[in-house]
Amino acid sequence: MAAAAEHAPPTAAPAAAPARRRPMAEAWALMPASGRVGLAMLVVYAAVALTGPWWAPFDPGKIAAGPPLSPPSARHLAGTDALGRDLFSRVVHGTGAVMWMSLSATGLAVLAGSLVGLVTGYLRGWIDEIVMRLADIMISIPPLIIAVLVIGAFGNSQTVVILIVALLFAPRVARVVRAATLGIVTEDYVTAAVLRGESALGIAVRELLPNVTGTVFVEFAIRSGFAIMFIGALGFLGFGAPPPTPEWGVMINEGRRTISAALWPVLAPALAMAGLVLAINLFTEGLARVIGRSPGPATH
Amino acid sequence: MPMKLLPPLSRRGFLQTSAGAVAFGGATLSLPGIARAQSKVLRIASGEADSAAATMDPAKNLADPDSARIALAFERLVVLDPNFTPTPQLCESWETNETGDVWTFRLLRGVKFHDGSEMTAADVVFSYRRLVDPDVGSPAAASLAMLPMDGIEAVDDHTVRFRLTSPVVEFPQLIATRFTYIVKAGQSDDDLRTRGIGTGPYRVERFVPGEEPAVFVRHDGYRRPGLPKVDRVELRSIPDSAARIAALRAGQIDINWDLPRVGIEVLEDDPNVRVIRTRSPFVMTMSMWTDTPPFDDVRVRMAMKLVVDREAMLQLVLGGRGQLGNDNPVAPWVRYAIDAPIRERNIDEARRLLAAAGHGNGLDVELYTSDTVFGFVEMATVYQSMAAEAGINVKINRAPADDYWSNVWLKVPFMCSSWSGRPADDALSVAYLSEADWNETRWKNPEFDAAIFEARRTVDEAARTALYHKAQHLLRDEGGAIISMHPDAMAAVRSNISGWSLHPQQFSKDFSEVEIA
Amino acid sequence: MRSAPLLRLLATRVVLAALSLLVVSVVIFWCVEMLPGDTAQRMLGRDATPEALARLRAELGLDRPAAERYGLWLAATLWGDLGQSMVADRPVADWVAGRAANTLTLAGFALAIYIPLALALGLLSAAFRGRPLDQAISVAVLLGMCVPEFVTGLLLVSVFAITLDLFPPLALIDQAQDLGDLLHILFLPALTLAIAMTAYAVRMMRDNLIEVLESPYVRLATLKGLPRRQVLLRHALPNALGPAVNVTALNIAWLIGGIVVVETVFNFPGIGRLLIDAISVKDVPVVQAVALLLTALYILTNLLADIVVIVLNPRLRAGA
Repeated sequence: MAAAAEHAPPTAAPAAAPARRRPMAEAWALMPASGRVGLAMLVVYAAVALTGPWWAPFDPGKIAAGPPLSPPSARHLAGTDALGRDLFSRVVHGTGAVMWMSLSATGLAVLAGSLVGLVTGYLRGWIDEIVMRLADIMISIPPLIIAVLVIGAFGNSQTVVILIVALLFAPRVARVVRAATLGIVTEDYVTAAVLRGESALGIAVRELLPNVTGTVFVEFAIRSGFAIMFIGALGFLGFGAPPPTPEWGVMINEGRRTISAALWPVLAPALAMAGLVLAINLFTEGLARVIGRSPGPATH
Repeated sequence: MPMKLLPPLSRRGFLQTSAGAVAFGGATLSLPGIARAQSKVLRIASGEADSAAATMDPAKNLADPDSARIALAFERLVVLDPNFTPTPQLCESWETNETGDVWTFRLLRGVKFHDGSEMTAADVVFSYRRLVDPDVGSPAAASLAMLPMDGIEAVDDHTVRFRLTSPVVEFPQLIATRFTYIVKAGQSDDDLRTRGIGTGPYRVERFVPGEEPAVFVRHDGYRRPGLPKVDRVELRSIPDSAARIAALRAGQIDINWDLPRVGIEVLEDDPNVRVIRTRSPFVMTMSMWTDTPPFDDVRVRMAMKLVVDREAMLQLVLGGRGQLGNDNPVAPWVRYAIDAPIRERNIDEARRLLAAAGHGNGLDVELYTSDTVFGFVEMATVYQSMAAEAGINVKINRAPADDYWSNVWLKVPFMCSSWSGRPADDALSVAYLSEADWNETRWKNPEFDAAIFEARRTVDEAARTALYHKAQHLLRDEGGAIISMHPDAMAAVRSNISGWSLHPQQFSKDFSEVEIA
Repeated sequence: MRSAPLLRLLATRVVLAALSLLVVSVVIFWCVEMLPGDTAQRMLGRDATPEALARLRAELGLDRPAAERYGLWLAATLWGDLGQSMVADRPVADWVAGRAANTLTLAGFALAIYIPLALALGLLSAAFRGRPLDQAISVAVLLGMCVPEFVTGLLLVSVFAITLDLFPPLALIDQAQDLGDLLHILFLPALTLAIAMTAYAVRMMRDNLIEVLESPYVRLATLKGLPRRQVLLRHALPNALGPAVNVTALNIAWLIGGIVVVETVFNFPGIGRLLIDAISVKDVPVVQAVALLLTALYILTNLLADIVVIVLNPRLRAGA
């Protein structure tokens, strides 16, 4: 494999277990406890993202909501930052932006990557060869460098961040989905569809897609975790969302300036970020167990 | 592609590379270590990134680390004391004719350059001609526009004369800038960039742009006996303020002159570190283009100034470590400053003015800011929140720090800016004269210009003061600068360091008397 | 016979790598070109007067079209001349080499912490699977994976440098006077990198080791009455090495990006900070050199990993 190191190791045999369709209840029963905890945490995060702006105690941009750099208290659950803004409210308000950016970037990447992976995996031959070589080249460029350059060139809007992360992740997803597809194209039902004269796209969508759904789901889950940390790193390096968005990576970067005086401006967004990634990891692991695919790490 | 010729790989470059390789191989990194063991080393840190564009050529003094290197190796004819009064450094005295357009400086005798040669008038002429020489392209040329190249002449070995095209009553003050350091005559631009020869207390030993630290060693022939008391100075830059504070506390650096104004309580509590604070006329401003809607209406500009709660701004952005600003680039304690009460916040009046200007239903403006200067983002954030109460909706655009000065500054109608502390004339003219290169508020007021030009020619002090006052009142009440604070200069030194003081002008640094206990 | 597939693999890979590097150089050049402003503007910053700009542009050759500048750069690079930094006015090769040596020192130290740590934790958790020790390791690993490296770095600095004063907060490598000093100065950044890598590796290795431990081959060894230690080290470990190499390759690939962030946190004069600095002044030859070096490193790492996996695994070797 040209990029063996990019996705699951050979022993993981990603395509070995085509997903069998199971009802939701059975999936829940198969889900290990840790996976359920992860899912529950995700539900909480999603709820915070959707409803937080209505119940957060303070406006996230409200300066001097309390004395600057005050420690956590009943009034300010996570303390305040150097401008006296309420950190808890900022973290809550940031949840939506962080989840929106990482999930939509991952969603786009998985959509595009899966389509390319399915089609090339099905067609094989020279198209596959060329597309995969291109993917290899894209994968071999250090992602952070490209992201920093592109954001520098096009500005640090949420859209740019989402698009660049999607672009960086798509070839990685394509590789994994293609590998899964290769494992099933020789199955009888696919041959039958070919004999029926169905189009390549039709076969990809109707016959192949349902059988790689599991892989795609797991891929989506793993990638979202990476996306959160990657976008966080961009924010930390000063390439994140512009204010007043209280994006967590940007908050950590801001809090870092006063870290010798107070740790909580860094700790509050960091904990929120770690919790979200933890939830995703737990859920991914559970999901992988249900589907029967090893959730091997791709790149961090 | 650079079109310059490739210099051969120097021996020094080779040594460095192999030192790195040796470190990787696991042997000892001995080169700097040995030198350090036997001598007194002063480790100083700038808070501004030292990019590959770094230099030690006084004519190209741009970034803060540049000015540190230049201050170590060079000296000027005239310096400004902490109260901005001109004081001789490399000269004994100066005199002028009655009209103030011919200035004669008598140089100190027996001043030695790092190479042992003696400084003469020829070196001074060389240094000043470089500054106004269009081929050198020094930014100093703008403020020395009244000084033609052939107006700089050596009268004898120790006398220099400047013939100006127009009178400048305060010429000595005008030449105490960050560019006007005296270099040995005959050096090329390349020499001066990395291995310049001056009369300063330290000579450069190793300075490679993009490589840290820059190393300077004691100038044995320094003109002041017994000085310097330090053998070796290492300069590096630590752009992250938290890292700078941590490094000071851990004893990794001895002096830093660029502290943030918030979050430094730990330093103040640390017995091993002394925090130094000096009030400074440094200006933090938000600039509106006075020729562009909605800021072309003086009522809007006044409303934008009236929404600021200056005391709260100072507390939040600078932790109270600064002085209140009065929409005047001349800080209240600087010579010639007007004595007007600090502008009070008045939301009702701001609303009334906005309504009168046709913005009764609110006003939308976009304010550009950046991380490039500490406090810009905070200032914009706080302003946004204060302006909202008068119905002004400020959208903040946080531009990348890298190219803020090249692509945002002077290119957008409302943005954060800052100016280092300057004497009154310089502070008023650098950005507010109609024809100023850096006219960031696009303020074109003939009355204002006339007052400044007239003041420069006015020998009578009272009359001159009145003219400067007139200019300041015009600017404060009609101009486009929202100046709400003057941050104090903040520095910290390890407690075993003495003999160093913090100048209110950040670029004016002096390490000649530093002593390590 | 045995080396034929390897040689074929190598040949294909070298061609592909060259192609990749070419594409990368075009992409990077184009991206840098797209950044607002030009090198002259970024160098002069606030003091850029039109005359000074024009002068500097001519001096740097910026008045030529972008395609021509790229062509000149490519031609010189193919001749083995990486050129001169536009901004620092010094040979790029020399500069990048010095910084790369620093970064390699740091990365080497990080790997030296990571490899034994990951192996030990992986073995322990597999050997004690399901028991409290394994569970504790699993939780730690999970947490390690959820905390991004810049947070780990900041927390380590906050605790070990600022509060406890055990290690210096900044990795100022030139202040080291001997090897002990060097290790002391580099410990926190190396640990930051090692923690992130270990978390991933242990999680992968544990699953693989358990799989191996449950294979008939190892069970047989256990049934034969061999001591547990010997079973683990002699039989199980070698079989799990392939995946471990793979994870390490993955980790090194990650390291290439992670180093940028960690060098920023610790003010370390390595290649990552050089890159960020070069981007900020649009110093094209330097950005290109660093980006190509990192990409080449990445490709090389993957290639080595593939080769090692093939060599370690007889089945793959036959089938390759």
